[in-house]
Amino acid sequence: MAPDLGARLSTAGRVVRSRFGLWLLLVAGFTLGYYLLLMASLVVRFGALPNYAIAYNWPASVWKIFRSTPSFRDVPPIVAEEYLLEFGYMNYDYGLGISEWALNIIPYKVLLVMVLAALLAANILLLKARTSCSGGTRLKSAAATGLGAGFVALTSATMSWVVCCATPTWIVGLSMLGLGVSTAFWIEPIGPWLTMAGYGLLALSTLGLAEPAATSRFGTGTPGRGRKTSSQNGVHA
Amino acid sequence: MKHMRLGFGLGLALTAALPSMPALAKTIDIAIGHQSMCTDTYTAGIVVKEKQLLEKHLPKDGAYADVEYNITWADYSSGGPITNQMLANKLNIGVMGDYPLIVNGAKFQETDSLRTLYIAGTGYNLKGSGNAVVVPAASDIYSLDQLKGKSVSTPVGSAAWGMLLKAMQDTGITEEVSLKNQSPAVGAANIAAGKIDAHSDFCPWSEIMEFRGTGRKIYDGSETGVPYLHGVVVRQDFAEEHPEVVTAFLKAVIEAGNWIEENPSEAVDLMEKWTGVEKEVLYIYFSNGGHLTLDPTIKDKWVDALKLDHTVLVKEKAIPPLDFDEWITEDYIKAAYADLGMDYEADKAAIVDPETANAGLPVEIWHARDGILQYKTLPEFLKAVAEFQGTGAKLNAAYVYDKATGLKLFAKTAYFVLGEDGAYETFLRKPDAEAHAAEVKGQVIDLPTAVAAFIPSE
Repeated sequence: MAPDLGARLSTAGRVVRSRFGLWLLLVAGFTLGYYLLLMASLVVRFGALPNYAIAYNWPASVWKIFRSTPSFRDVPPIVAEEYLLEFGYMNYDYGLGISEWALNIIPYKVLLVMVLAALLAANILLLKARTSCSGGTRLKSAAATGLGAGFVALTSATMSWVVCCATPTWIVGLSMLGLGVSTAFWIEPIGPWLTMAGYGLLALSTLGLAEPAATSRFGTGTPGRGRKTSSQNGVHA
Repeated sequence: MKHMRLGFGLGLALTAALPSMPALAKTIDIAIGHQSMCTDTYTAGIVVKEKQLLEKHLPKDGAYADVEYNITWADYSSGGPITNQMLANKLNIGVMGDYPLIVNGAKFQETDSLRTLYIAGTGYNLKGSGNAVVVPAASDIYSLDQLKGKSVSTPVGSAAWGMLLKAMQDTGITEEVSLKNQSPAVGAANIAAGKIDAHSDFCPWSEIMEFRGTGRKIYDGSETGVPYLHGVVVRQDFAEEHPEVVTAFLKAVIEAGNWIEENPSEAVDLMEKWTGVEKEVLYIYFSNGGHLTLDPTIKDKWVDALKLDHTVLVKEKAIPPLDFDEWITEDYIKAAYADLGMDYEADKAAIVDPETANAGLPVEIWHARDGILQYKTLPEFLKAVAEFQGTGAKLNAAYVYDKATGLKLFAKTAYFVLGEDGAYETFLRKPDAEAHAAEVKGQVIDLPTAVAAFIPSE
C-alpha cells in the first residue's frame, strides 16, 4: 500500500503541478466564492445589506494571546476564535445599536476553507486528467468529493446571527435553514468530527482519482511497454 | 584594577543618583467589557464609565505612584463575546448576567492555564424578574400554557433563555413549543410586527416593548422563583498582579449604585443619553420599588442560584464543569467595602423581596413637566390621570405595583380589578387578576376603563 500511496501522491502532485496556475485560481476562487456565498445567504435570508464593517488587528491579537497565555496548549483554541474582519447589519431601533447578524472572517477558518479548496481543486484537475482509474471509481470519488466538501463547507461557516451570548458557529447556518434550536445545539458537538470526515473523504477521493496514468501528458510511460500501472499491480482505488 | 575602581565609582554614582531620577512610568491597561443594553450591568458598566468613577478610585500612591492607566471600555450586546475577548486577554474585566457568567467561569476552567474570578454582583431581583415572556400587544395569549403549539423565540444562551427553559419545564410544555433563536432586536421587531407568537428576553427588552406599546408580558421571570443576577468577572492573572486596581473598580461599582439609589430621576435621565434606552423604561428598574436591587455582595443564595443555572446549562449546552469554590471570591469586594468604611456583612445579609418591600409604596405618574408625582392610593392616582387627560397634559408614564409579586408595572399594561367594595388592585398577569376578581366579586378592567370612572361629569 505504501508504495502505491506514494505513487498516487506523486500522481496527484504531478497533476497539480501541470496545471498549477489553474489550481491556484480554483483555490482562490473557491475560497472567495465560499465567503461571498455566506454573505449572499445572510443578505437573502435577512433581506438587508450589511451596514457596518470592522477590521481587527489580527497579528497584534495573536501576539497578545501568545504572550499572555502561560500554557502553549491553550493558545491555538483561543487564536482560532480571533477575527480579522466583520461585516454585519446593525439595528439602530434600540439603544445605541444591536448587531443583528454578521459574517466574520476568522483566519483560522479561512485556512480550513483554503485546505478544502486546495483538495477540491486537486480533485477537479484529477477528474479532468487522464489517469487510469475506472469510470466507477471516478463517479464514487466525485460523489465523495462533493460530500466531503459539503461537510467541511458547512462546518466552516462563520456567521453570527443570535446576538445574545452567541459567537460565530457553524450551526447558525443550519438554524437559518430552519433547523430547530435544540436540534442545532444537539448536533453542534459533532462539528469537528464532520470536518474531519469531510477532509477524510476529500483526501480519499484525491488518492482514488490519482491512480497513476498509463498514458498521460504528465506521465511518461505507457501500459504494455515495460511499465506497470497500479491496476496491473492489482491495486484499485 | 583600574577598571574595577571605575566600575565601582560608576555604580556608586548611579546608586546615589537613582532616588532623584524620575522613575520610568509604568502603564497598566484596564480593559472592561460591558453591555449598554442590559440594565442590570449598568453599575459596573456605563455609569462607572461615564461618571469616570474608576479613575476616581484608582490607586495613585505607593507602588502606583508613577503608574499611568490606560482604561478602555468595549460595549457588547451579550456576555458571550466578552468571555471570548477575556480569553484573548483583550479584556481584563467583564460584566454579564448569570448564565453567561457561568459559561465564562467554565470556559476558563476548561483551559490549562487561564482562570477568571467572580468578584462581585451588580444587581439582582430575588424572584427572577427582569427576564420575561412577551406576546404581541393584540395577541389573545395571556398565560404560558397557552403557548402549546406556538413559536417562541429567545436569544439562546442568555439568562432569558435559561428562564424560558425552566418555565416551560415547570409548565410541562417543553415538547409542545417550537423554540426559535432570535436576538433581542429581532425578537422585539417580530413582536411589533406580530410575526412571532411570543418572545422571551432579558432586561430591559420586555419593558421596552411594553413602553412602546408593541408587546405585553404574559410571564415574568419572578414566577420561576430563581434569583436573577448579574456580576463582575476578572481574569485571575490581572487580579493577582493588580489587586488594588480590582478593588478600585469595585469601589466604583459601589459608588455607582449609591448614586443611582440617591438620584433615580437624574440617573435614568443621564442613562437614557448614555444608552439610548428610554428613561421611562429605566425608571422601572432603577427607582424606589424598581425591579433591580443594586447590591454588589455575593450572597450564599446567589451561589446556589448559579449552581442551579449551571445544571441547566450542562443539560442543554453540555458546558464544562465549574468549580464554584475556585471561581468565586469575596476578597476584593470585602476590601472595597472596608476601604469605603461600609459594612459588608450587613449588606450581604440584607435581601430585598419586592413582595414585602414594595407593599404600600405610592403609585407614580411621570408628568412631562412636573416630573415624578406620587399618590398613596389607586383612586387618587386614577383621579389624577383623569384630570391630566382632561387638561391635555403630557404624561411620560405611570407606574403601579403587581399585587401578586410587588413588581413595578407600567399602568397602561396592568390589569385593574375593581372590587365589589369599590377598592382597586393592579396585576401583571390576567389570570391573577381574574382570580382576584372572582375572590372579591369584582371585575377586571384596563387603565382607560378605570380612569373613565374618574372623569368629572358635566
